[in-house]
Amino acid sequence: MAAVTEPTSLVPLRETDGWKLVERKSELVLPKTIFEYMDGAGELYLAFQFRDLHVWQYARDGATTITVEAYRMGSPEEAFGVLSQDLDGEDAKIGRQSLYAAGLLRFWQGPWYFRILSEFETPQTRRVVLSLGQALAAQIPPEGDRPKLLARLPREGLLPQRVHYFHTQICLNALYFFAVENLLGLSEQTEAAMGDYRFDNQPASLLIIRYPDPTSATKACARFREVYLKGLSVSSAPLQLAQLENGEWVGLRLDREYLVLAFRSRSRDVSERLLKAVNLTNGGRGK
Amino acid sequence: MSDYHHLTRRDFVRDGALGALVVGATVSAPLPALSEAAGEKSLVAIVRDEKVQGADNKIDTAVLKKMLDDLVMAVTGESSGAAAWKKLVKPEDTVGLVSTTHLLKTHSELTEAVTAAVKDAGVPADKILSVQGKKALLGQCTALITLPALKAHYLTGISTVFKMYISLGEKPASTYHKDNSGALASIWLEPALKGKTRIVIVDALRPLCAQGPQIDPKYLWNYNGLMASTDPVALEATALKIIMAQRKIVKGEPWELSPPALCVAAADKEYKLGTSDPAKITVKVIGWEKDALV
Repeated sequence: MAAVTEPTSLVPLRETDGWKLVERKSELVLPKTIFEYMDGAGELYLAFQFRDLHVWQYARDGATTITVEAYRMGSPEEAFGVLSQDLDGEDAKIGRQSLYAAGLLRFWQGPWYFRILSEFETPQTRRVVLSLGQALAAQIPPEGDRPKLLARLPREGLLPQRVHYFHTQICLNALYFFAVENLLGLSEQTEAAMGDYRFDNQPASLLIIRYPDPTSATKACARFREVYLKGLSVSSAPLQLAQLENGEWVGLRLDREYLVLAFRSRSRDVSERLLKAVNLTNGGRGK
Repeated sequence: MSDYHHLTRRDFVRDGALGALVVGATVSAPLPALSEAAGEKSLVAIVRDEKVQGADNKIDTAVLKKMLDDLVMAVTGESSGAAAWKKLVKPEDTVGLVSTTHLLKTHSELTEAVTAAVKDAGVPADKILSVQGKKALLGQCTALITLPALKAHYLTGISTVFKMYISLGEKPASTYHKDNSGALASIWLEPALKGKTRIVIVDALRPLCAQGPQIDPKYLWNYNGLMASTDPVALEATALKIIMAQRKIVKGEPWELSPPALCVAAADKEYKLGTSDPAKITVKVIGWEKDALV
């Protein structure tokens, strides 16, 4: 994981466009208190090495509140991972990657992930939200990069704004549901890159999982075959392909500590091409 | 282990219910108090008024009160709001109100309107308790009125009716996340809660169709509605239908709910709390019909 220079504290703007900081000192939320702050929502952040959260409020007479949330994650890769759980929005050109829509700005820079929310959007609140974000982004060194595992996703046909990074089953299930059971053995020790593709206007997806060791990858592959592909005719390794009842193909490729899944495509050829196109020889975290 | 623990995407594919929920014929047993109002079917009433929220999303409390009256009248079959509330609660009851108090909250105007209506029905003010997250108060309550906000949830698919009691249950909330969201309805059968829910009124004024419970305004919309039923399963199934329809509008194509809302089918098939079978649910829309999504 890339080393980063972390600021000891962020200093939000005291005032912008008539909106004033309610209290200079932030509300501090820690892993052990995150559910008090966001009951039912803390799991998302805990799945990305959440360290702490600073919250500030801005107010203006007669207007709704604007809330600034600065989440410090374990690394830039983790900060990107949080953002990648929902990639809809327009590029606000703030931080390393930003998304703005309907009053909410989200972006990451270094190990920080930000949510700046005005629940009721006006042209003025949009200006204020973006200004607050720019001021915070400017305080964080632009070190760190997106997870290296993402580079293993083949580029041909990849939708650049549909690239996700995560570790655990809850994140996979929020993006694409395979099963209630954690068939793929995802955990904090695994890392996963997922990309959506288009070939001839038809969808396809690819999931690359890196396990701590080849044994874990082999075990996950076997369990997935045993449960998810049960009763289907599956081609032999190295590319294990099966067609589901709805015509979609699911393909598996196991290579040392890597397990690659191709899914959502109605073309066997596309699934095979995607599986083969994954370069597992160079790059990747720690290599 | 329950059947829903073994569900895979292929089960949804085979049932042709991908992205929604698995439903089918089953024995349904709606909460007993008032289900006769809908005959053999479970009744879900939806009251909508486009004027309940202004351009700034401020609530018009007079409009809201009328919506609430129309809603309880539809559910109970009574001819006035006052008579309907008297059928739902008795002066000797201790009434626990269960509102959403975090993130996408139940509108305070709705909680206040329900409190006033319960008072007008003869329940003393000191016998109307706000019980969300306060397990210790449940023992005093002879009746519960549940007021969830309508929202999708990234851990459980939907977080409206059955997730409302997660902080009142015997087990930690985390028990029901990850692979166990199908068990949410089991909380309703715990001794402190079983049989106490007189009505569930869903705040569908400004629901959230994705990425809940944290608020992302691009997924909020002004549905301007209240929904209610005495069958919590039928109500959740109808709420889910609305969420799914709005997701399709947002994306311009079907947008499956991930993870699927397993709690709905489980509440029906495993916990027998009502019906999720559309053939056994009557949905009655009162008022503004545009984009009712049912």
